[in-house]
Amino acid sequence: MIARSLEYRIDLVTALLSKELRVRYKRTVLGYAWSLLNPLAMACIYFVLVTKIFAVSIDKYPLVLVAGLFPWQWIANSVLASSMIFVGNAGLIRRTSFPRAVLVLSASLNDMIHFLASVPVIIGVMLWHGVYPDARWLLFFPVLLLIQWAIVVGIGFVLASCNVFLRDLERLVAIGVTIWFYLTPVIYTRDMLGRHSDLLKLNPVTGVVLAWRSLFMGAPIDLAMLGWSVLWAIVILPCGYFLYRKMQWRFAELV
Amino acid sequence: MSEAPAIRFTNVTKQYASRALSHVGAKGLVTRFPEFVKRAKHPVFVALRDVSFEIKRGECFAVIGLNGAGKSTTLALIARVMRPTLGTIETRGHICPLLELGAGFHPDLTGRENILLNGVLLGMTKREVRQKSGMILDFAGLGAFIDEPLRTYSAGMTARLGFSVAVHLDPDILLIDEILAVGDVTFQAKCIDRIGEFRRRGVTFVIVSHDTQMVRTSCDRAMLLYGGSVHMNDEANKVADEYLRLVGAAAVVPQVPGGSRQTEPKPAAEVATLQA
Repeated sequence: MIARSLEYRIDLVTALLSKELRVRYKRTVLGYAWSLLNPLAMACIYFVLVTKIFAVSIDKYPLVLVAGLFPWQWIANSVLASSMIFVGNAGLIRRTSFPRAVLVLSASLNDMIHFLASVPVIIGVMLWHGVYPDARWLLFFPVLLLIQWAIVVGIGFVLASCNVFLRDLERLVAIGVTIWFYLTPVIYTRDMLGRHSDLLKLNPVTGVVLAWRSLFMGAPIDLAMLGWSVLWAIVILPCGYFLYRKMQWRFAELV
Repeated sequence: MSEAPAIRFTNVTKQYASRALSHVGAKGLVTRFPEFVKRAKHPVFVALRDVSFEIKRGECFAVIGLNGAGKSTTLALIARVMRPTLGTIETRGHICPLLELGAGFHPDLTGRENILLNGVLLGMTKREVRQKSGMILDFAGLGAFIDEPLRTYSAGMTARLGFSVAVHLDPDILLIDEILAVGDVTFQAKCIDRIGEFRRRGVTFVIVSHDTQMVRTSCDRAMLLYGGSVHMNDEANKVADEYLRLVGAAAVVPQVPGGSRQTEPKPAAEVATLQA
């Protein structure tokens, strides 16, 4: 019975995931290109803005941008999608009793797969700058995926559940994600903040975003900073799941 | 084969918090905090009031009543998508809700892909859906359309697909919320066949319907809900008569006395459904 229940839950997540992926890639032949275009366009804009207009010179800035924007894209898209996911699937939630948590899980996996699909582009930019993937990837790639996924899912549970009760939350989330973007070292580096850089520890994703960048740039990973992200993940994921468990019985009557 | 009922409601009351609450939103939480707390504390809508009934295994049971009488709430409570505020609900066996047109389907996926998605959402593992997909495809009888995206389907074809998945779930209890009227004559005949087969196998049916003719011909017993309470629970024909009497009365006097509902029932719409 337990084996069947586990198999069923895995099937639920993968069925929802393959739905999302199929829909994304079916609608347009350019599906894959579209998912790359947004972060690449942002990278171009910030490159021109910072190096030409503000005339700040940062070493390997195109790589800095690409190595930060793609992981960020996963965070931002998952958090935005999660906040609307229970309300958006109202028809299903009102009528069937499947575990609603799988919706949040599949949304975050969906964006994780898009991130993985964009890695060849990041590698392309790396090679252009003469940086090569190294042996650390074998260890850190899965570890960073796991940490970031845990944070994203934890936040997703909180926002998805609360949005059922406070419908305008999703609007606040959209604004919040934009602010959060500038509070995360995506378009700038940590040392540009000087003595204020310790404040970045309060941002759950700083450690993991910086670690991705270091990994893609062949630079040493700041393990202390990554530790803060791990700590945040350990706090956020159980708290988010607990909140969801507390609230999920009311979803069907409120969505 | 046991004597225990398939479904038993004991003194079930279901109250809803004001739906308006969620629409006050985060803005309201900040700007109108006292009102927000007051609303959160006092549920304002009583959908079911002290409802008790039993449905025997293998029975075909209809739930009828005016709009807002608590029919859909009853189904949702049986399907366990909600918890009762008071009272207990016992069910035996695998419950399958027959989804409303299109719920759980995605318009951009093909019929075949939707069968897999829908089957999994309704409680089957992928392996189980694949084992049955031959039978499901056969039953749906959609021909070459099965590999076309669902948005190219007519409403009837979508309903056929949904029904085909649901009847292959091996349910012990099948919940049907007014959708059997779709599909052409051949498909309806197939559905009636299938329902007959289910009944021989001892599957329990709970049907929400406004179609008194269908209730008379297909159901053994019926329950008439009125303002969230059980008005009558008896043999299907008698309950259908009482329902028609009630609808006639409601059509003359639109106000329902003693109801604590915010939304009044719409008798005119009910009569229209009956005539259709």
